Amino acid sequence: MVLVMSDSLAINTLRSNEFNRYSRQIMLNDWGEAGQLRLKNSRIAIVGCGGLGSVVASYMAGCGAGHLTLIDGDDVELSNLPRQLTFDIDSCGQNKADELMQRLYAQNDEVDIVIEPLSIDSDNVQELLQVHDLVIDCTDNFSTRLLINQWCVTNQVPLMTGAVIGWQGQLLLIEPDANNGCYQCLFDTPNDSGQSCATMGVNPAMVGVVGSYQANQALRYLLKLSTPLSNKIALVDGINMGVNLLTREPNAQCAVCHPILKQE
Amino acid sequence: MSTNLSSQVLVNQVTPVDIQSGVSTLSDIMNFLALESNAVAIAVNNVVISKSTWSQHTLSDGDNINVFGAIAGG
Repeated sequence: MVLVMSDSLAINTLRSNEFNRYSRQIMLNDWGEAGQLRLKNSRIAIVGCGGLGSVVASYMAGCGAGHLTLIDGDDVELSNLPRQLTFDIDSCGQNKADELMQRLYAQNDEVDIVIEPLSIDSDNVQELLQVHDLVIDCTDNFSTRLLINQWCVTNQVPLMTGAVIGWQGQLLLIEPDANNGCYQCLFDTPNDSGQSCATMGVNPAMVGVVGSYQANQALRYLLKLSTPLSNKIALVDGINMGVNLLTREPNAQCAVCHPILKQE
Repeated sequence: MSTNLSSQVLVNQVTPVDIQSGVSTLSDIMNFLALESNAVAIAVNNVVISKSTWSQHTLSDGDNINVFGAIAGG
């Protein structure tokens, strides 16, 4: 069972310094004070604090998303620095979640940040992801992506997943009860033999592009605004500067979401 | 005057494939082009088709087929 903050515990006012800090986003017609309060009361788990995760987390903290959980068991390496811009040479050898938290607090000390400096697995996934309004998958391997997808679908927690390799990116949002299929509906049998940044390479700037798209659509979801990723997968093409939106449908043979649909 | 009666689909915006005997479904296309189907999704005219129905999904003239693989980098 997933526990979320009840409305009675939610903060329903902004302080004057918050109005000042967030003034440029609050002035947007579809953001406003109500949207800022939604962000302030949101609990977001960011799994993976590398390229995508550091971009997404920076925007979430900067925008005032109130409660962030940063999950990553890896340490910063020299080969991370071209695309993981929140880290520097002194970060090498330090845990990514810990380093990122320190940078985010320097950016905005009004958000609550919890770090989990460990790799997510089937034994700890429940403990790490429960009590969140949105899980953002920024991990770097298929097995972890499938695990997170399975947990989120089973526990009906929204999942925003993003991936990047070479000059390409992929983004999708899996919402409970949307019946638009899950990650495993699309990719049923991936393995970890390739298709990661370490094995295939990546253009550092594409990490920024895809991470920014991911943060943008996550913010729209948290603000209860429309996002095409609810029922589509976005293929981001960094060569021709295009985004191809493809409509998703549930796979009747999906081992993850089809049994849940049948129960309802 | 000659008349071209063949039907054709376009794969990933660059590869035209004639629909012919033995090449009429998504499964046929994957076999015909010798494409890896593991961790791969296919969209026809911007709608993803479940892998479980590839063998029944009959192609039509002018279909735009997008074959793409899962990526995992973060």
